[in-house]
Amino acid sequence: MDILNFSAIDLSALIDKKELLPSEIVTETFRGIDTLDKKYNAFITTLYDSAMTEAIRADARAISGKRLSVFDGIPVAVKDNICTKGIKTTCGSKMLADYIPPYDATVITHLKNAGMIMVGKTNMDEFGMGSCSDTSYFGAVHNPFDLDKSAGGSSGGSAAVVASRIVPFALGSDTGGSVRQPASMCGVCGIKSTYGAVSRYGLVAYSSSFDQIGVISNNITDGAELMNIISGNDTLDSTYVGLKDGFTHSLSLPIKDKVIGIPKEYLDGNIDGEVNEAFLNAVDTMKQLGCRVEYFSLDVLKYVVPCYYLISNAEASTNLSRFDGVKYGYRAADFTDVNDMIKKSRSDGFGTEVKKRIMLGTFAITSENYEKYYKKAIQVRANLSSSFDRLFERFDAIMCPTSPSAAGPLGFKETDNTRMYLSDIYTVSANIAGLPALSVPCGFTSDGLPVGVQFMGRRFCDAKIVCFAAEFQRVTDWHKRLPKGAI
Amino acid sequence: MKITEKTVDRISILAKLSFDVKEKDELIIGLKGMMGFVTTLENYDSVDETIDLLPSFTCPLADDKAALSLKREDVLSSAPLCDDTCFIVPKTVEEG
Repeated sequence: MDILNFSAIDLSALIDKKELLPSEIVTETFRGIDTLDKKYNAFITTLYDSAMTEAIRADARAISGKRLSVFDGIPVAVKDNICTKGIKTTCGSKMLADYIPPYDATVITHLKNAGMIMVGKTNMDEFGMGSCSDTSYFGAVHNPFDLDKSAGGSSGGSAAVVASRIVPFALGSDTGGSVRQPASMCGVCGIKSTYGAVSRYGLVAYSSSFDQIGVISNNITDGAELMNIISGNDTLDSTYVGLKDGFTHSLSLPIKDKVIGIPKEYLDGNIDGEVNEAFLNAVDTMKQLGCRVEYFSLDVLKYVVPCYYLISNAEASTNLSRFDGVKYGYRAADFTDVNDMIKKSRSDGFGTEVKKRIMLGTFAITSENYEKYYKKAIQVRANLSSSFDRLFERFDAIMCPTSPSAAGPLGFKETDNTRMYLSDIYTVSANIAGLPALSVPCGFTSDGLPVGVQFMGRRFCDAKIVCFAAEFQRVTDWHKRLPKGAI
Repeated sequence: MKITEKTVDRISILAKLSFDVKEKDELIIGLKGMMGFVTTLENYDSVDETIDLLPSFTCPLADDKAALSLKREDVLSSAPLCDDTCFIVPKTVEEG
């Protein structure tokens, strides 16, 4: 049997029935990595020895009927900006190319406590700053559906390894859509929780008020179950509040007569024709499932992309000031004094896109620009947040495309990346307002590239949108389509 | 706001970054592109003073108890240069 095509929940059931051992799954996973990753460049680090050691321990637990969780013995990949004790965590950057954290992120502790097996660290845009996974110091990630196309970003490596069925799921991080957008580009599911539902401790910070660790998976149920595991308790992140009822408690609830809102602004001239068509078909599917659909207009949406880039880059400029060649990370070889050392280490260690964003962020919070830009961005954020609160009095979910276009070509370099920034136009709102949001596959373009649809929900009602997505996947098979050459 | 070479020079001091001439030219184009849509924020005039600008949820407080922290040798293990107890950096205080 081709076990890599199984869902994590099905694999778990086979382990429970003693028809399959974790070590057999992990062996197959590394066969997949050996066969496919030279094409995708999706892993920065693979962990064969430690994964096999853990798998043999998981075998023993399975045989004795003492599994630690539903996903004990199931392999998982982890984005390389999530700290792993004793394992390189590079953030896709020369700055951290040799950095080995002395501690685990809280989500990694949760994975370990659940008996899950980490098989590798995945490639990504440098420090999460990009939408194509091509700003990595370790080279671009290739989309499994078309190797000449981007895998989306910044969690492109995680999306590619899930799309190719090397692993059933992977962790990513989502600052402005970095879980949902690559999931959409690679034909898989991506979940970003309500801000505060998952601990950020050990996630290398890009923009702390937006960042959330999320899950990319082949089907939404696997993803939601993994979210239950990683959203466990934490005392190390002061913004962690958890999610009382988890992500799966609404799975069996009916969605008939639920009301879905669609923002008119998202269906204007920016959207690609085939993406629009796939999205409208998804809307029809939700209607057939008994949902009512209403269109609405929200003027503030036209400010969300500038708002996002202003705030995220301002936070990035302060967060990344910690990289100074002193405590960890890259230090330039030649310098005259301490200031020269810091400047040269940062200038050599960071890539072009990261430096550009640090510059914009620094610019935005100078005294002369603070009122004009940063404060305006904060006001837009507050307005958007309260507008969504009001919208969720009318709607059970908001539905929109995940990205205005399917995956774009790799190697397309432009000095002005405005187009790349606008590719986040549908995803950043959820980060700005701290809302839960997820993407599931809803179609393909005529070139065979996947298209995703996004559901957003009220804060701390993550399970509700999981329910909508699960119902959508119950009656569609877009998430079951494999890229050519996948395992 | 115009992005000029002078702007880049001034901001690069604050950001502790340096750029050669080619990088600087590309950066100016890139920043102009970013500013092109960031400046649309100047048109935003729907300011509602009654809206709280801070996130609306309350962060929980941790118990006021000492807890284990990282060991010094573990922290120092990632440093570019250190001895048994300290990070080593070039001299930071000028002699008077």
